[in-house]
Amino acid sequence: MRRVLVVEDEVLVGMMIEEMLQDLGYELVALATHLDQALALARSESFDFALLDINLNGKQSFPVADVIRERGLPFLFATGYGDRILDAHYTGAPLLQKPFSLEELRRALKRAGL
Amino acid sequence: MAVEPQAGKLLTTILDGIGQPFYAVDGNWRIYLYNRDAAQHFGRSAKQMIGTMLWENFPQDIDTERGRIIRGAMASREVVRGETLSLVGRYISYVIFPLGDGLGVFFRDITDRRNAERQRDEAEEALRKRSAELEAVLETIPTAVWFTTDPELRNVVGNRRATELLRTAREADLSSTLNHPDHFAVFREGNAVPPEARPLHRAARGEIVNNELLEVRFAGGDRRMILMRAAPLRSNTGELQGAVAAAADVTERHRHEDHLQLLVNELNHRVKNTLAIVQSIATLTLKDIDPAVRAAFEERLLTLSGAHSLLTDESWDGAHLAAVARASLRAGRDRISFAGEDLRLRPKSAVALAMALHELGTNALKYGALSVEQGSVAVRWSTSDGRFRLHWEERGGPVVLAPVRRGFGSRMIERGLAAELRGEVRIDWRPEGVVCTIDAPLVAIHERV
Repeated sequence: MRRVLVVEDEVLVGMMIEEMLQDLGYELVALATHLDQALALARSESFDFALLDINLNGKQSFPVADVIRERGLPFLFATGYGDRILDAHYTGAPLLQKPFSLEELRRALKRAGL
Repeated sequence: MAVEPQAGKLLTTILDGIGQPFYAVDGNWRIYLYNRDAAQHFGRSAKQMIGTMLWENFPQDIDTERGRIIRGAMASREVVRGETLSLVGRYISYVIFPLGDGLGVFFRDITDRRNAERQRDEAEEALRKRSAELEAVLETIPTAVWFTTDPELRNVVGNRRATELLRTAREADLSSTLNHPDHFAVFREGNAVPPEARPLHRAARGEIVNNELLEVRFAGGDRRMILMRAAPLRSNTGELQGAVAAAADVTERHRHEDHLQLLVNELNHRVKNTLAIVQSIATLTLKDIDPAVRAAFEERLLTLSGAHSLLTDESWDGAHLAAVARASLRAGRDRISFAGEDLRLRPKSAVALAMALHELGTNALKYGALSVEQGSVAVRWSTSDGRFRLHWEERGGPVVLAPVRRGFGSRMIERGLAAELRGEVRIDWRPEGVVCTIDAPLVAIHERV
C-alpha cells in the first residue's frame, strides 16, 4: 500500500482526504496542518508521495515541496486559488482544484503517475 | 490719355504705359495731366477731367485725410509717400511730388493686397487664439502630451504634465530625455522596451498605438504605471509630419485593481475552503448512508464550486453561458452539443443556470438519453425580442416516463430557476426524450439588476 503525507490546514478537509485516499487504496502516513510541522514531516517521514494544500494558514507550502523535491519524491498540489498561485519554480506541477471529488482525486493521482 | 496741346505724343505714350494711375494739377488745382489708368480708377474720362478743378470734382474730400495730404503736399512742396483711401474709396499707395507750381500724383490700387493682408491678419489672430486655448488646455489637463515633428524625435515638445511624469526640468531637452533617458527605463509586461520601440517613436514612423500599458522604473526605485496612446501626424496629402503621444498615470488605479483582484482571489479561496469543509462534514457525517446520495450532494457542491471558479476568473463581473454550460455538464459531455450566441450572464444567473443544467445532466445520465450509448443531448439558446430562450432536448434514450413525484432536481429547475430568472421554466417528459425550455427576460439574464 502506497504511503501518503497530507498537508492540509483544515482538519476536516484533511480527514475527508484521508477517507478518500483509503477508498483509493492508499495509506495516510501523517496529516500536517502547519508549515513547521509539514517541513519536519517532509524531512523525516517515510512516504511515497505527498498531497500539499498550497495555503497553510496564510503561509505557502512551497518550502515543503522544495524539501520533497530534494528527496526525489513526487507530490500533488491542492488549492482553491487556481493555478495562478503556483510559484514560478512549480509552473506546470500537478494541481488539484479544491473542492474535489473522489473521482477527481483518482484521476489527478493517475495523471501524476501516483 | 489726353494732355494739353503743349504736351507731346511721347509724353502721352509714357504716361499711359506706366501702368499706374497718374494725374497732375497746377498751382490752382486745375488738372492738366490725366492718364488712362486714372480714368479707369476714377471712372471718369480724360475728356471730362482735363481742365477742370480737382476740388470741383471731389468737393467732399477737401477736408478728409486724403484731401489734407494733397493740400499739405501743395503747401510744403515736398515729396509725400504713403497709403490711404483714395478719392473713390479704394486703398491706394501714393507718391505726390511737386511738378511745376502744382503737383504730380502717382498712386497704385492696393485694395486687394490690403484685403489679403487683413484676411491673413485675421487668420493669424484666430490661429494665435486657438493655439493659446490649446496650450491652456494642454497645460491644464492631467494627461502628459508630447509632440514631435520628425521620425527620430529630434524636435519634441511636451506639456507641463509630460515633464512632471518623466521627472525632468520644465526646460529640459525632451528629445534627449526620450531618446537617451538616463534616469528611467520603460517596461512592457516585465520586458524592457528600448526608446525606439516606445509609442511616440512608433507613431512617428506611422503606427497608431492604442492603450499600451507601460511601467516606468525610475533610477531611485520608484515605479509608475502609464497608459499610452500615440498617433502619427500627417499632412493633407498623407505625408508623415510627426506624431503625438498622450500618457495617463494609472499607477493608483492599477494598484487598486491589483488589490481588488487579491481580495477576490482571497474571497474565492475562502469560499472554496468553506465548500470543501461542507463537503468534508457531509462525507464524514453521511459515511454510512447510500453512496449515491452522498455522490449527488457532492456533485451539486462541486458544480456550485465550478460556477464560483468561472465567476472568480471574471472578478465576479459575470460569466459566459457556454463556459457555464460546459463546466456544469462534465459527465457525458462528448454526447452533449451546445449551440448559441456568446452570452454573458450576471453572477446570480450563472450560478442558477449552472445548478439547473447540472440537475438536467445528472437526470439524463441516470435515466435519460445519456444513460445509453446512442443517446445524446442538444442544448441551444438564443436571444430575441428582449427574451432569453434555452432549449434542452434529449434524443435516442429510453422511453421516458414522467415522474410520479417531483424530486429535488426538478423542483430546483422549475421553481428555483424560474424565480431566479423571473421567467418560465418547463420540463416536458416526452416519451422520446426530456425537453426543458427556459424563457426569461434578457435583462434578468445578462445585466446587473
